[in-house]
Amino acid sequence: MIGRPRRAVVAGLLAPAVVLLVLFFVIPSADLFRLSLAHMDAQRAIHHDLSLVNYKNFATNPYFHRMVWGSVKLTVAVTALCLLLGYPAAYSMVRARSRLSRTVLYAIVVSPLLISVIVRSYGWVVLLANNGVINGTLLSLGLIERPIRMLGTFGSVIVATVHVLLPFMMLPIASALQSLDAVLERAAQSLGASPWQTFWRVTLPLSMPGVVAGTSLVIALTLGIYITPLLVAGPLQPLFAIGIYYVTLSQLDFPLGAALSFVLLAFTLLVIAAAARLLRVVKGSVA
Amino acid sequence: MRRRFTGATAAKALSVAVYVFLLAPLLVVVLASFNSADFLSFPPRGFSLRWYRALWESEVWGDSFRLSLLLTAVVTPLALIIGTLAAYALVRYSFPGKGAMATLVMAPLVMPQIVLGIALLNYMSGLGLVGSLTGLILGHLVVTLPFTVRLVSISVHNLDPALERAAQNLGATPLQTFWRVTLPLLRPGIVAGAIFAAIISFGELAVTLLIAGARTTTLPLRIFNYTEYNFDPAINAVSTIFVVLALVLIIVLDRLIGLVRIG
Repeated sequence: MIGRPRRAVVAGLLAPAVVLLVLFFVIPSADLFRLSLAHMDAQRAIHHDLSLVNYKNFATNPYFHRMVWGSVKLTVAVTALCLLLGYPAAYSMVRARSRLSRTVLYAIVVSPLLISVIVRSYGWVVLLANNGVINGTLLSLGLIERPIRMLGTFGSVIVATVHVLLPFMMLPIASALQSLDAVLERAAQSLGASPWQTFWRVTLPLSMPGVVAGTSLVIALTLGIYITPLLVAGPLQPLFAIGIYYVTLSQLDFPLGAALSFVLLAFTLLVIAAAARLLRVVKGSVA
Repeated sequence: MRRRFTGATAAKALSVAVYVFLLAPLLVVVLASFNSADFLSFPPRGFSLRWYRALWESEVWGDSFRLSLLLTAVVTPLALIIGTLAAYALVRYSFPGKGAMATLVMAPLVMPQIVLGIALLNYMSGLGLVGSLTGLILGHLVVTLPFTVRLVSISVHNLDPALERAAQNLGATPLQTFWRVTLPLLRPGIVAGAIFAAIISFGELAVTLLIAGARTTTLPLRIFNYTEYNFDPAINAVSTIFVVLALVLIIVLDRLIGLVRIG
């Protein structure tokens, strides 16, 4: 129990953050939820009538099912690629021999986090455009006659999203590998385990907390990513977050956009809760 | 032994490819910024600094650059002060509702950015804040706060309360203790928090795209508009500035707390 003067100190320290977040996070979110229960009629008038019509629209309209399916496909592809590419890359970063090469590799992984997502996504426009670097190279080498259309495709969204989110997979895995004592791997090998056995039975299980943390972060971020797909593939790409953007800003149907927002939020929270649970199980079995 | 050779080599080749993949779009943009051709062209025509000159002389890019600097200069210290106070309370004291408070402070990080942006757009349009600098400052504060709280919290964890008690036993007032003992000891977390807050605010687009207006076109927003609607090769030069800035900050962060510990 804390005394009265202490309580005043705590309240004072937290007050600025609480005021900011209540006014510009909690109330706006609550307001958006209220709006999701309103509905817009054919004359574009908004009725605050506590109806579930927007949620019903989401549940029954095949247009939205296509968006959900697109987001699920993107999430599965991006997460799988981030894991497959990120794990070995994180491993070689942590186990790099010299301090210098370790620092350089960390810099390559951390620096994208310090560069605006718009710049990183724009880099993919330069690479993938019809008059971009990849098509230019292939054309000048005479390997193709006409530019291959890459920008605007689902594949370009996958590639650019993997690029933006890969550090979020690699850093938790790297920190898990770092706390893993290399002696354990050597012990396994000196007891006769092959390198594969050592990896599957020692290294991977002990780095599972990092894998679970990175995976859940990448899933949650992929579900909500919209700037990168918008830039490389435009506002009509069937993805959930892009659909929210389109419905709200192009069709100006705020109540429907609000309802879709809460469906996305629910999915995201579900993933995070499942991951937190899994993380506890994994950590329990490691300890 | 043959198996070990192929497995290890394949893993190594894959990691090299991953690092090339991470660098490729950034390198390409930097190289393109020195290309003399006046549209996106590859292979490059010749070396030229004309896009940097164009950028320097352009009024619209200059306006956006100044706006983004101003925004960052206001948001960073505010996010840092609010975040440091909250981090200190959350780590140092136990009180009823502490878990809820910690969740609240971190919540903007969990919220999908499109949802946060639309919530703020809807709310701020009622208050007449859409398209205003005040609106952008408030939006950026909500986005940056979790980062300053998290980074400063690490330093508060490492701070030995005995040092503060010792200062008070030696006659320092609570305020003196805070200024002369607590704050200096929290410096690594505060500097890292400031760097992250500044970087995020300077490059923020997910929320900005929804709540900014024609008179508050930040630098990232102008890059977005010009990529989407009317291409301007000066984008490459602007992007290169972002890349160089990141390189400088990477070195600062490495000196300060070590890159290995950021992860």
